[in-house]
Amino acid sequence: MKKDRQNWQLKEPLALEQINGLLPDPYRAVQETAEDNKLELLDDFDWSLWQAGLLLLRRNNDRLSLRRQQDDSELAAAAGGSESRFWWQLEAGELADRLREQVAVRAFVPKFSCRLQQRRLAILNADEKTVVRLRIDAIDPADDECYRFAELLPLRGYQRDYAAVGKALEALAPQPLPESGLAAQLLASGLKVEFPVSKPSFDLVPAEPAESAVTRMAVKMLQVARHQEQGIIDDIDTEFVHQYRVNIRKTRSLISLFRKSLDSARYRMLKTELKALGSLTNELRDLDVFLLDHDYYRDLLPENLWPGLEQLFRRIRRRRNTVFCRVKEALSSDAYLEQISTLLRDLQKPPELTGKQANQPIKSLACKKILQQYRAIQVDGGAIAAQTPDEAVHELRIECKKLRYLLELFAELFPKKELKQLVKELKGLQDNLGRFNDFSVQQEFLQHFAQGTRAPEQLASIHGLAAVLHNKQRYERSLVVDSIGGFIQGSIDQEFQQLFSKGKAGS
Amino acid sequence: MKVLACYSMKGGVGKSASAVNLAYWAARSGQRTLLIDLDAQGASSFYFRVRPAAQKNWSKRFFKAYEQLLKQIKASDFDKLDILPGHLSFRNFDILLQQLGKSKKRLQQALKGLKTEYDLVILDCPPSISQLAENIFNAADLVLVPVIPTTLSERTFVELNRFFKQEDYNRNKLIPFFTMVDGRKQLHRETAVSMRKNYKRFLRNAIPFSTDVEKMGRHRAPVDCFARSRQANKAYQALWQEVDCLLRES
Repeated sequence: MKKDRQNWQLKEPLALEQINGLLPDPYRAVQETAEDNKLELLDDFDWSLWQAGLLLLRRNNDRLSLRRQQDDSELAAAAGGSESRFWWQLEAGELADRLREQVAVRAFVPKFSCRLQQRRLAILNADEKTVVRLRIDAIDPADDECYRFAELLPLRGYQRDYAAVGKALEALAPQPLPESGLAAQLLASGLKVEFPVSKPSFDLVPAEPAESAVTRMAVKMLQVARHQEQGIIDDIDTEFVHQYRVNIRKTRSLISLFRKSLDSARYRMLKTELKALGSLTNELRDLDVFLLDHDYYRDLLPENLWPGLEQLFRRIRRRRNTVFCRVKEALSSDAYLEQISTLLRDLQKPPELTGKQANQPIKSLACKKILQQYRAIQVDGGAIAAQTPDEAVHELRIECKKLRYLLELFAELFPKKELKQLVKELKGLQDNLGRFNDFSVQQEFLQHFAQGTRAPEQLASIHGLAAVLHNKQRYERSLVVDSIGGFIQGSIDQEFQQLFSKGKAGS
Repeated sequence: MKVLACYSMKGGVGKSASAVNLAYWAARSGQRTLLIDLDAQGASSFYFRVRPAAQKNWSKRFFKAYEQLLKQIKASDFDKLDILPGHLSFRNFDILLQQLGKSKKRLQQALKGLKTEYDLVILDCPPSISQLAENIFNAADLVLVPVIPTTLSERTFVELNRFFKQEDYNRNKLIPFFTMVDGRKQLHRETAVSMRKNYKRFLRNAIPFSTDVEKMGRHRAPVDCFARSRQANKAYQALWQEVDCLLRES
């Protein structure tokens, strides 16, 4: 942030007469503007805007403004009261575009609110020329304490006056602030910025016994899942359910891949419980995903099929409301709380060390699992030809996902660059298989909704859409053999061997 | 970065007033603007309450390097608008330019260094046809010429045109516009009509004769600051919009 200005925190309110009393001849301060606004700082759950160096502010409940933290300059603005929580709810324009880029599917919600009084003063010389500017701000977060700030800004060519005025104002014994701008002032007024953990670091030690490492990792991921619960219950945005599910799925995958490091009874219990947790939100996520893609589906159809599609979407929205209420009730229930606490308690028990691989060092075991998983993909993938039934492709997709989880979960044990490259290669294949699967899931989804209506207009749209998706699925299928070939070929095989057979040997 | 000169061989035609108000509106429209007051009398600096530099003979360094220019720049009271104030020593520019080599492109070279900081440089020029004037013609993308619709002013503009032709300057750069127009005077009306016929590049907007423009000296500020709703202010704003379009095309 700019250093060529002085920022202070003040203890007392500062009146114009007081400033004029301090200024030496010939300086005189005059007030240019004064504003008094209710201000809310908005951001998504992850503080994405803050982390990108931006501030999204809502003024007086009706106007949104996106600013750069660095210099408070406004990048875009639009009307938007408390009902606007997503970029697509704003009028089309610069602000909507920038928010789409930064927060995508996430809602922006109030993180901090206050009353902000801003006065802009000009310090004039004998010619009545402005030679220095002074900003005085007061931030009142609640009704108890008010925080006051002053910022002295030099003007080009008037350095001497800036120094003189700065010196005169030192009599106020102001406390310097490290940085300028509203962001720094909000932080000094009690704004707490804490980034939630979405991808936890496990602090793995290569030699840690597998059972303890695996259970520790599971606990961390379940805790991240738990942090999403409130967001799901408050229905803030669809990303909470998504993150919740991702973490539970990863935990399930981890537990199942490393089942031999756990006691078999413990493994069975964990498996059942995790499966139950995951299935809680299955339908909600399917519905969310379909609703999020509204515009995409609409654009796949000719305009005369749009009214039917809208009817379908109305039904899906109604269904979503019903399903959401069920999920909300479930997550708020004592039974759920008991279920997940039991699970966490169990995972935090001391190691039982009865599993066959319980004592194996986690790094070498992870290497072994990764190589095994890659090998499985090579074998299953190699068997897939153009005519192979779709089930085999779906199964391969699941194998790939497991490998992806392994690479991500144990990433901290391996060199970043090499791992990143492998993940990139895998992702290429996964994208293809994922789209293939999505198109098939979407068709099933549509079939299901087709059964619930007799409205000809709606049925026409559903079948029309299904036909387009079927075509797209066929196209993705035509790419599958090649994308598998690319991933199971020699050079990538070598990289896998190089990176993970070393670790297996215990290095 | 574009360079706009406010130039006339004749004094008292509203050069400085035009330069000041155009600079003000340019900055208001978001362009980072620098107004360079090349006139030893420093009228436009006075309008912005900016004092000349304290050094006695800084004009000697004016064409040496753009860093020398940067040192003298002062912020105006308005966002995005800076001023390089006039200085008494600027009256020696012609002699100085004679002494330096490549004496017709010196100004152009000196201004080049400002392009990272400014989108627009406006030159308020002294009234004379001289070495400095030729530097201005070379440096400017457009040369705005205020013309009072009277016989004498018309003659001066005809001469300027002839000079451009004779010295082979691009005459498309010359953009005349009427100032101090008094619609009640028949002479003004007739001259304006006949000049517009002869010179197609006259701007559509004209600045009326107005006591508000004269009052700039008392308020020491652009017209918008003290006579917002008055005709003269609206005329300057419209004039800027027209000039802005031409600058984009130039």
